[in-house]
Amino acid sequence: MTENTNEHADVTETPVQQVANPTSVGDTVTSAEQPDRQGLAKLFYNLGLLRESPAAIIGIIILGFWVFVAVFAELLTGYGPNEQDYTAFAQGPLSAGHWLGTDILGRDIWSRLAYGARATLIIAPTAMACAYFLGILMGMLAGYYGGWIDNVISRVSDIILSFPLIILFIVIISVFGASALNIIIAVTLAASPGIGRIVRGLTLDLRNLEYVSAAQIRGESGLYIMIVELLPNARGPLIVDACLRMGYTVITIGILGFLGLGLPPPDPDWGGMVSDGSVMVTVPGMAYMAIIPAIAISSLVIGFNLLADGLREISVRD
Amino acid sequence: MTDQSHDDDIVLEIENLGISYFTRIGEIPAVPDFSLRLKRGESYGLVGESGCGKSTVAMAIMNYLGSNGGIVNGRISFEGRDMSTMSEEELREIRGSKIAMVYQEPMSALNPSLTIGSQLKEVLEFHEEISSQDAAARCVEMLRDVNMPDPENVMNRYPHQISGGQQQRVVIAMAMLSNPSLLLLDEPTTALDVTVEATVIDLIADLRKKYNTTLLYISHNLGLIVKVCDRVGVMYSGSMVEEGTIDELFKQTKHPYTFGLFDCIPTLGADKHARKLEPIPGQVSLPHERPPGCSFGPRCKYFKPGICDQGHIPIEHVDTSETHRVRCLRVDEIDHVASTGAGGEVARDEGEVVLDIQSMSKFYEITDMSLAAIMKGETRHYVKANEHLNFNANRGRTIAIVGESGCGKSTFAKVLTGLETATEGSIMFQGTDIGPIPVQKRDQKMIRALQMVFQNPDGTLNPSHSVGYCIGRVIKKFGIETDAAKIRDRVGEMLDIVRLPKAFSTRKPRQLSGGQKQRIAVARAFAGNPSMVIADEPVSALDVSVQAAVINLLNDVQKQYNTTLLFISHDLSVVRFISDEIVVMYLGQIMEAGASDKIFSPPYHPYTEALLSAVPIADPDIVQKRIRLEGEMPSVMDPPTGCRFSTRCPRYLGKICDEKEPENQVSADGHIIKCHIPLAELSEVEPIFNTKEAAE
Repeated sequence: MTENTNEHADVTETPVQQVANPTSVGDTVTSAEQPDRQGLAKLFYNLGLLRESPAAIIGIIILGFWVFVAVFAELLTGYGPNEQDYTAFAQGPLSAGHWLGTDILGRDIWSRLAYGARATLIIAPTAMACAYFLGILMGMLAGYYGGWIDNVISRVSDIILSFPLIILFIVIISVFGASALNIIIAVTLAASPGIGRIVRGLTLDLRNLEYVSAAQIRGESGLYIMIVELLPNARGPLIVDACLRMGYTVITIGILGFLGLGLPPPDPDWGGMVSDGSVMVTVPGMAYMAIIPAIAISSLVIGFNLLADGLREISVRD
Repeated sequence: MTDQSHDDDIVLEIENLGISYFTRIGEIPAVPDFSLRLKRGESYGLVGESGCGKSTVAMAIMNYLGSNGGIVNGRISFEGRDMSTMSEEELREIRGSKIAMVYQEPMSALNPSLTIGSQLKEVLEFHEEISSQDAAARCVEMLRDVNMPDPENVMNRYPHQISGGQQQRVVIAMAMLSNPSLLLLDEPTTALDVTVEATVIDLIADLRKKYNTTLLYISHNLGLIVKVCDRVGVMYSGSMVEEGTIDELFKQTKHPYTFGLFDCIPTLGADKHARKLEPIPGQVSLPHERPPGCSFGPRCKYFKPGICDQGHIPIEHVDTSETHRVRCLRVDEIDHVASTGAGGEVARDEGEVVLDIQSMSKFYEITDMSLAAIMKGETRHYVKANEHLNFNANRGRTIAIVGESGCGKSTFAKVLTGLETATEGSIMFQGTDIGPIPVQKRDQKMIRALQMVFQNPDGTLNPSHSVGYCIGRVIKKFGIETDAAKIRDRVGEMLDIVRLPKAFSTRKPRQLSGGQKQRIAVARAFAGNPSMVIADEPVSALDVSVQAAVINLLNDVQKQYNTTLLFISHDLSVVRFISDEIVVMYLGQIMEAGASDKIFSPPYHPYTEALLSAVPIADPDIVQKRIRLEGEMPSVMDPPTGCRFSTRCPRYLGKICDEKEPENQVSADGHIIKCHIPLAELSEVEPIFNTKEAAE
């Protein structure tokens, strides 16, 4: 009888780790107190953790601003992106009716920035999604199966990575022509080998864990193990990496635009705006045409980087 | 004992020490109140389960509490001086010269990029005015003292070039170099194999005698404490609950927690049929959630509301004893009787043979493309992980495979489960030879029949999946149920069987304790109703009280399903308790196999004899014969040609052992010994374990 109660009393165990490790004490406690959250509630809870990181808050504010501008561009601007005001060419910031001024063709810079944000914020995430799809596929296959599959994938990656990126882009875009789709293809090809390497490394670490052996022993397929057992546990570092890469992608799109390989004119493109403005940089009082879109690009990049920093801080702590 | 009154002989005195950590959620009182007094030359053991604050105390003595920890009250005085009044400079001077520490992991205590010699010399050169030559000479001498073979040579090597046991010797040598008055040892042998552990323990005892050093020995293993210490303190949840001399603590145990610890440990004489292990219910309460009164209260059988949960409970002397103290109010009322209830019916009839292994071998091929190898034409080497294994297993029995690391026991488990395939021989499992079939090619029925429980509770469950998913997947995969609701019911049943509440099915692994994770792993393995389960060191990462619960659980579930259990372990006392048959492996070969009580009595294989004499036993009344293995285990790449054990065998006969592989001899009681020494001679060996009276 006593035995029985003993056995059952056991179930009141709460997770306890070593007291000797002070951080684990705090963390265990929070995880013990966390009620089970599902789906959206969990997402919001985790986002709530970002409150504690000032970097992340600033990052979110910057990103939130640009997303807002991109979504409501029509409402926030008084002019179309390609609309020319023949009464006001090359007006400086804070001039009548154009608070960021106009360019040499009389187009409202603020309008072009807002519509340009929309283009950037559509192209960059789409390109990242494609790059991650391809990168995860390559990395998982290489890391999990190893052997000749790993060799083939890694060597192909090496070849792409050893190519100077700009030349790669120029080749791709000049072959296929400048368009949003081709920018996405170029960015995907350029970024996926790097992502594949990270995923391969994470997979190598994870695949020797016992739960993977347990899955193999119960006869699970390789696909199941990669998607269900391994991928969810690689997500932490990948989310941080995605934020950083998103920033780089914004730069890349800017560079492409600057080189004239971005969106075909006259569509607004931040890189293209810098390029258009750059001819006037040396003219006194005209530098704003290049500087304003350049600030827009860097603010978006900084926003993504700060968010990545915040996410990393939080993932390290828990 | 006579020098007790001399106060200047006290090396370390800790009075009412309180240590707290300050974290996001506030102050965490890791150690609320701790007192300890160590005399010169004394050896004191501190035992307790993980999370009870043993290491925190050691860190406080070294003043290494980290940025968020601190001493909140009480004081530590070392050789009569309060350490809190010392300057940083003085403390640094003391650490390493007067107080030294040996850690659990030797590899992480040594710098991998410096030679052993330069690391050792640094200790002397920092603390003393000494020339490099003199320092080197003293280091070599010290290495000789720790029985390091070829010390001059070792001085020029890097840590990774010597074995784990030797690394720990270097760490001990480093700690002893400046002849400290206090040596702290935090689980110094936990990472080592039993035979190595035994030699390190002997070494610590010898050094202590030679240098008259005071030892504070921290361990969770009561058996080691018996061998090394004069006095023992039992810690629970940050406080000392009982302390006394070895004899007082083991023979006149007073505190219910100490009883509880003893009841959890399998003793050598008893197996699962004679006695059931009695786990301590519940778990150590978190430091900031300690109950009022006795912190052990919620887990104590003798808890009385109104007495045990009121106010602070002081630690008081037992009767007239100077040394024996206990922190319990009801100490005079408690009359503890160790559990004797039989664990179940005595060995059943042998069922049909489930597993029949005939001369199974597993070789790994290694290609050596070095120039020398190519010149000789020896580019291919074989690592013989398993060689000619023969044994069988009947339904419902427990077979244990024991051996030190590198003996091939885990490779064997991999071959059985199909993660690797056998190179030679056959493994007949339920009428099919599964040896050459990898798991991808096995049919579902075969996969379902053979499942596994793993060692590491943290790695065994996928942190991203809920408990319910993890068990449910097995049920779905093996086609036991297909309907979602029925799967959920079945998961509930499995949780019931491993004695966890059904609500656990929505929990994630990080919300579970180690013991709970291991229970889920058992539930997962048995969910498909397998005919054989392989358990690879399933309890070695757990605390003793949790270990007892998991062993009981494995036993019960096995009985319920009439499953064959293949129990892989290095812990001979657990093996003796749980298994019906034992297979002893060394360097990929079976040295001895037979019924478990026969293995524990003569005739012994010389290797088994050495293993048995190295097992730490938590009973001061038992005397073990002392056999220590010389040298290191040979590499599996290049095993000895004749008998695998010949290089270290204490009963080495001569040439025949080096040249000829021994035949299996079958003894009168039906167990197999692979040795050249005639059985008659092996039978005359006296038993390893004796009670004290019998020995005298």
